[in-house]
Amino acid sequence: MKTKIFILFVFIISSFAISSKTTKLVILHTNDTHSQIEPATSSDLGGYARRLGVINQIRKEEKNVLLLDAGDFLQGTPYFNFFGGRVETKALKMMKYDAIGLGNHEFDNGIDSLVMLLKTVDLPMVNSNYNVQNTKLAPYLKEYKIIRKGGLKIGIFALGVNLEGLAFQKHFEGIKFNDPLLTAKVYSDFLKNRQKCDLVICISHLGVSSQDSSPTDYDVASATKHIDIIIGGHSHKILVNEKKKNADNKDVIIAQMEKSGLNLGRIDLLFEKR
Amino acid sequence: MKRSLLYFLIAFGMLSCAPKHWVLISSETSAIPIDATTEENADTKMHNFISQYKLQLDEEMNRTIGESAVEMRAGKPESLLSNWNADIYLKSASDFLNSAADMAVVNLGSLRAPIPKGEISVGTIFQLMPFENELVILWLKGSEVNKLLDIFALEGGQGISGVRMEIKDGKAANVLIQGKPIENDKLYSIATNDFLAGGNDRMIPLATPVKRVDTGLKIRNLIMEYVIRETQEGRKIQSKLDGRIR
Repeated sequence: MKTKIFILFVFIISSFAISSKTTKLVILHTNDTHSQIEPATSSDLGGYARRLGVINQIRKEEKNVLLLDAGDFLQGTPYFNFFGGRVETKALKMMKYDAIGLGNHEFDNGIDSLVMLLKTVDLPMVNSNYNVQNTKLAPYLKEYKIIRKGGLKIGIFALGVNLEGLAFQKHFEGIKFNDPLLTAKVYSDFLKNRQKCDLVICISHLGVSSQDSSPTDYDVASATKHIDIIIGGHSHKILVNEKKKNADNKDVIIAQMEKSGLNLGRIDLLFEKR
Repeated sequence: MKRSLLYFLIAFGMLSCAPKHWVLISSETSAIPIDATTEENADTKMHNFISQYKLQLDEEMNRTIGESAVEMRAGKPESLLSNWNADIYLKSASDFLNSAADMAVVNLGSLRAPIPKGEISVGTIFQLMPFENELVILWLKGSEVNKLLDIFALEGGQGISGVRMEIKDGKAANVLIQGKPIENDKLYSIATNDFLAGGNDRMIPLATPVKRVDTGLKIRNLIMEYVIRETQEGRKIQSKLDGRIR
């Protein structure tokens, strides 16, 4: 009898919990921060210590915060030239990023140098379209990542730009570049339909301009059916309130935060259980 | 009775679970400027972490490596800064090839800051050349070189070395390479950087060379090494306008 009362109790509680709720998620994002460790001298914007201060404040105010970066966190100030990325990678770890995509500038000193950095600092690097099986990078990249926050199951995958012409051949030797559109279709479908994620995020370093790359984030949005948000980079543009219809005519949010960490992107999402 | 209650509960449980899932009902995107007002809440741990590197970096950047006899700025048709830089490109390519390169091309846009008269620090060179570009050597036929110089003429000048030319009616005239009139079918070796070798900055003829060698040498390091070498040999950094573009 006791067990039955217990079962009854569990059912009532769980059905109550399931039927009631809304949940909120805040996504904070950066891209192309380009070794801007101190505030930029020209604009007095940005800087790691300030950024983390703002992030900490939001983490205090909000229960469910996700922090993402869309790559090119390396290169751009003498810090990179002198310390080879050690300051940037350690700082990303201190800021507790949840997922980080690879930009082209992560390859500026070659795969071996990138591997050295990732060996020292355990960062949540994600990339879905670079086949790195035959390189030393393999143990340090996840093809996708699933994060649970606020009752939500969040699926994250990431797209990298074709490195041809953007990095020296010898610096990305052995990496096979898979088509971003096909990769996006496969991973968004997998995360939504197989993994049953409530939210699918694509971190992208493809850019939004056809001059920067082909395809663009807009192409990724319109060619797929299950991406909710694209956290973009590479084009150094500010994209706020930008949306594109997907293949099912549903909105995909495309966000990008210029460069150098001058701004921190923020996306507030409200979910309802239906 | 008890059993049917259990069945009911199971059925109820399945029903309440099955069709429900999270639906995104609203979204708001914004950009938070990381401006001076965020300084007071800046993270102390991060600040301290950065400070130790900043100290080392400042020390290195402030290190004096030479002295310039003149202030050098970039400009058209020729300038102290562009002549000096192009000459370093040419010398570096010749050193790399172990034989004299014919000419060098530098875009004025890549010279990001002037060299002031007096002390040259590591930081001075970083300000001049913040990019990671590398020295590339290209081989082009004279006819293609002429096209390139015509583009320079149209623009009113660029950074060159090993070449003398006049601008006449928006075209390059009386072109001499290493003191000799340019020949259409002759192959010329050109020192430049990997950015221009991609045909950027309207230097389209550079994108289709007969031959290309990527030296892997960083332009900034080449400039720095040049300054250090001159200083070691007791010389100040010099540059002059020699009428290479008129």
